[in-house]
Amino acid sequence: MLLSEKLSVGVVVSTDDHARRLIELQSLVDDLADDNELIVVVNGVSQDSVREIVALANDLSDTTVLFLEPRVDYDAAQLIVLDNAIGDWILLAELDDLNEDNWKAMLAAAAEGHEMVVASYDHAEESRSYSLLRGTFLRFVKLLSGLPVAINLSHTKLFSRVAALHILRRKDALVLLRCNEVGASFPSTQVSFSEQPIVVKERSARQILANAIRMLNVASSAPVRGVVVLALLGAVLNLAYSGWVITYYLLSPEVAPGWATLSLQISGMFFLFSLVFLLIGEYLVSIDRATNQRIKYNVVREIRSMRTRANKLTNVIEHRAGTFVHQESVRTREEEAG
Amino acid sequence: MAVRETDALVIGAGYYGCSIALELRRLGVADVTIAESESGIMTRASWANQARVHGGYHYPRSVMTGLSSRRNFERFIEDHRDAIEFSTPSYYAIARSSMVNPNQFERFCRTVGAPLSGAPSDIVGMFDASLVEAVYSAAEFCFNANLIAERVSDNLKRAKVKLLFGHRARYLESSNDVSLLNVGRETIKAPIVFNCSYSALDEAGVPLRATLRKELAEIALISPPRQIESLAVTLMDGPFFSTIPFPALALHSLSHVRYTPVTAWTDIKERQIPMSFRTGVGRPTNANAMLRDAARYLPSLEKATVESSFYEYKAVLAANDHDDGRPILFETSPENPNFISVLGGKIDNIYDILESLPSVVRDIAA
Repeated sequence: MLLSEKLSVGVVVSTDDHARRLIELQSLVDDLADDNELIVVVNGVSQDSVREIVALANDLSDTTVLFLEPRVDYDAAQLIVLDNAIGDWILLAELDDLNEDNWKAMLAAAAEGHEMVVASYDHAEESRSYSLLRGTFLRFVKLLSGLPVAINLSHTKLFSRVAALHILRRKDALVLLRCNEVGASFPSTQVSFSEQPIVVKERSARQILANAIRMLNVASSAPVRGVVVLALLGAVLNLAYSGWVITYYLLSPEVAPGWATLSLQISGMFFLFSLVFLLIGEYLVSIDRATNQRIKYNVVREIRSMRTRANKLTNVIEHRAGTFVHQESVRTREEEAG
Repeated sequence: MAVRETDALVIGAGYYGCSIALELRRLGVADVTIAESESGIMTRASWANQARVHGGYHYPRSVMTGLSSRRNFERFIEDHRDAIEFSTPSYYAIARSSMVNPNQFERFCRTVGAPLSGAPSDIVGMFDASLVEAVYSAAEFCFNANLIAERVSDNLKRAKVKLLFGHRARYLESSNDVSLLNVGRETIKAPIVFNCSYSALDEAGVPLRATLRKELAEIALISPPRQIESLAVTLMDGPFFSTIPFPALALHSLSHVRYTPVTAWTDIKERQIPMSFRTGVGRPTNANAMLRDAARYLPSLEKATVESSFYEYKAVLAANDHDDGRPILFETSPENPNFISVLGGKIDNIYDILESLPSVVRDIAA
């Protein structure tokens, strides 16, 4: 099926064998929509791969290649695709899973009025321990954030422009990319592809930890709230202790000289510390709320392919074979011939 | 009734109709006639618009439209240099709830080759930062429609194009791909017909395959406050308004996405034009609503004064109503391939159509 609107297709090149799949990707995308663009995010591959991709970029049409430094997590790289896409629809595809039938099924679901279509698989090719760890972590993020985080989602997703912009404007965009819906204003659906197992991109422990901390940081302000609660508890406990010291001093017949003074000084000091931590904590929560901008990433280089289909066409449409198509540019044809 | 013969008939003396007529003469078509229902050239939609020479910035979700605008921009300026206002700086502001974010807008402009840079801080400071995310300086100008009409009129005289004013053309029939049309009291026979009647495109007696979405649009004319009297400002893209100089009347025009359309329809039977618009008596206006909403983003607009409004029918292809695509329609009639309907909403994109005319004339002559 051919989409009549503009389709942006974004992929993340994260391994060295991804580069040679880009030509195949372009021919598949041309079957999906007449008016399309490719956005390729190059995320931490070898220098040989980079050279290969730079050379390939000129063979591709309507393609933008963005190079990231340093390497970021796969979800973060997909956010960069959304940030740069100008299509009416944005398909986040995976170079490990170039499945045109699946994409067509997602576009068909979008044609029914859904603004967001995610894909899930019945099972994933990953180790048991990694699966347990990943599932536990995502359930914790779901609890912390209150968002509908899904456990077995594929990285292949389709968004309408408005749904993509909604995600981009949110500080918890990284978490939203793991959800099967992003709000009632954006009707969403989930399609199931059970024929092929999802290949989970396993990473080093350091990468996993860094990503986990980043996701927790954006998922919720609960950790900072926890500090505020502890500070409040400390202040209350110190007040209670001060009250107990005074009561004991007044009612007890034997109190060592200086004990009450010292105790009240210490509890008073810690009460003040608790108040300071409480205030600082509240300010941090306010700053966290006010800073609604999501994390920015460093695109160090951008290459745009020289070829664009739009240059061969004019902005004049005529009726041909039952549909309206753009006329070929006589001027471009003559320039190329001459 | 006597039948007059002409080598080519153009229906509509707007900018597109006149330009096509002139190009046909340039290509050697000996006798070219324009039939226009009004009493002069370029009196309707070609005059009643915001007079912007599109630099490609306006439709950031359509690379095709942006590239087309960019390609034609320099050529239009060269052809009508005397009628262009070059001294007015143009600024584009991106709203926080826009359909493109600043990064996407910058990427779009780089893609189509439209020069863009950050606006100076005093200009940025004029906008409400809680509603506007970024402000850019753009290379875009406005034109004086009266001066363009004068030049086009002179060119038509020099090219000896015949003009029939005050008559609506209506298609009657075809024989051997030669069209017969009724124009006022005359019947005209023409082997080539270009229907360039814009919002009346589907009322010439030849059905269209394309569906048009039409609207009655109000563009307000304002006296701007001192801070913006020498600026052109466009806010995009979702929330949208635009206030730019209208040189023909020495005022600013103001259009607004929500308040400019008075009513809209796709089927002529749905058209509901309030009686007050037909008679002009007590004609309702949304101009103050446009100003008030625009002032949320650009507070200095609160000091602007509404002078009047003009109203005109606008037409776009229904298929492009919700996106940024603004292609030019070039539709041959299934009954007669030499009856061609042309719909273009941007004056400066005429050159895309003119590029295809030599092959059309050659095919018809063959």
